[in-house]
Amino acid sequence: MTQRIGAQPFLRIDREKCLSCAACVAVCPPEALLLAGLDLVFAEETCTGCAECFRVCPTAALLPESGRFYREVA
Amino acid sequence: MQATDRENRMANGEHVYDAIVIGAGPAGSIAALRLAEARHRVLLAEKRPRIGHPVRCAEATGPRDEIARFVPVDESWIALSIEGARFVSPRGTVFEKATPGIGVMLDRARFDRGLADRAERAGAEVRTACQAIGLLKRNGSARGVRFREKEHDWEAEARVVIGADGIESLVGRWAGLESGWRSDELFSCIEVRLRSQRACDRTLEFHFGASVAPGGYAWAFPRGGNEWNVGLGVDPSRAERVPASVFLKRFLARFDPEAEIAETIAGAACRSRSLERIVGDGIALAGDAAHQGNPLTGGGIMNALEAGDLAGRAASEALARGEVTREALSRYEDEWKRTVGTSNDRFLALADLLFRKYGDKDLERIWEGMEKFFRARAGGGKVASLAAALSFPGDFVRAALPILAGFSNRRIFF
Repeated sequence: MTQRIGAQPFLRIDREKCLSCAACVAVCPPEALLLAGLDLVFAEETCTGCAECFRVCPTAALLPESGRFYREVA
Repeated sequence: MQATDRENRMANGEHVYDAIVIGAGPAGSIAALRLAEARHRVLLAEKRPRIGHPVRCAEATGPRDEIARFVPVDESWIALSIEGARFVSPRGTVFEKATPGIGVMLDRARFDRGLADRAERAGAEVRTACQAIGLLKRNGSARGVRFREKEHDWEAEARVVIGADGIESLVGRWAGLESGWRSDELFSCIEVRLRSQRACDRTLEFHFGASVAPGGYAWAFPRGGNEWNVGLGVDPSRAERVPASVFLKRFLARFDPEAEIAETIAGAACRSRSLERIVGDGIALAGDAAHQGNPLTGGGIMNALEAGDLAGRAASEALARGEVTREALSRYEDEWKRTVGTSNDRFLALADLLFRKYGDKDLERIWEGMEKFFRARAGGGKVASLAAALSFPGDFVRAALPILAGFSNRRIFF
């Protein structure tokens, strides 16, 4: 039987909308979002789920996966 | 002895530099230029594949001769001279001021590439698609940088590292300079390059109001011909989860519903004090990485040039003396605080009133007062006594007077 021991933040980057502007990178407290050249990179394991990135994204390109920001992990 | 060892390793093709500058924006390129001019061995590293691309900027900046204080100006960098400013209140009241020579619209892509070229021609090594992924330290002092180029990681050694890596700066965090942003210091901005048939009158236009751009403003800046940069910045805590792009669509419908959008760009604008500490042992920060933009307008180019220049000179002198400690670099920090840091504090005080404290009604009162103020001033009255007689809120007068007094002195706004 799988026991749920926690929840992990999960973020979807809409690549069509993302303009690589780095607003989320600047605001991300644990540096879970990084800009490598022109690509926005998300380090899921570092994310604390604070949701600051959703707040500042000018194009709403950052979205919680299917409306939920936390994914259950076993 | 150590110098000889360094020279040998340089000659052997090892990555050994006097200085490494991270980020080839205006601050980084000017810093690299100053260092290269002083005959230091400099690496200027840019993480993006192309310098100046994509542009994250509304492109308005100070006048040509102010730019020329730092570097000879290439005419191709200038898109248009600006001769005036127009401020539109929430209800649509227009206050206009002729400001001949107050600034220019840059072609940021050409400008950034031009500055990096100057650094390169002066002897700096410029690398693109070269991402800094870590700071190397010895006894708490920066001694080099770890880079990633494609999948290849490598290390370079330097006696001083300058972090000019923008709002998303990591260098400052690596160096322990607390360069992160508080969430209330960042604003979401979005902008379009527009082709519009509206007449280009060399005037920067600013629109205010909670329904236009909550906690920020919208801008329409002509680039010459039929090209405009039209955008806005919003305070996310006041925008109630509405992204900046939605506000921009509304604004465009009002500005010119027929216009054609050539390109959309975005970015964060910052509103904060300059960082308290911008130098450490073997390290300095410059530009947005050091929170040095103008907190009222969100502009940062002139300040970045100033900071890059000061940081580059301080680092050059420290290198020449063979000592790159925090003390040796602190001339830059002191000079910044004394000059732009102080004026930025004034800009911030005014920004807090305009964008945080005041509602649309207060702004309308200010628009009325503004017209009277400049009319009276043109009549030759004393600034302070005139202001007292007007209908401005008291705190606005205190915050705005030092700035308004400098308006005709071409105070640097962008």
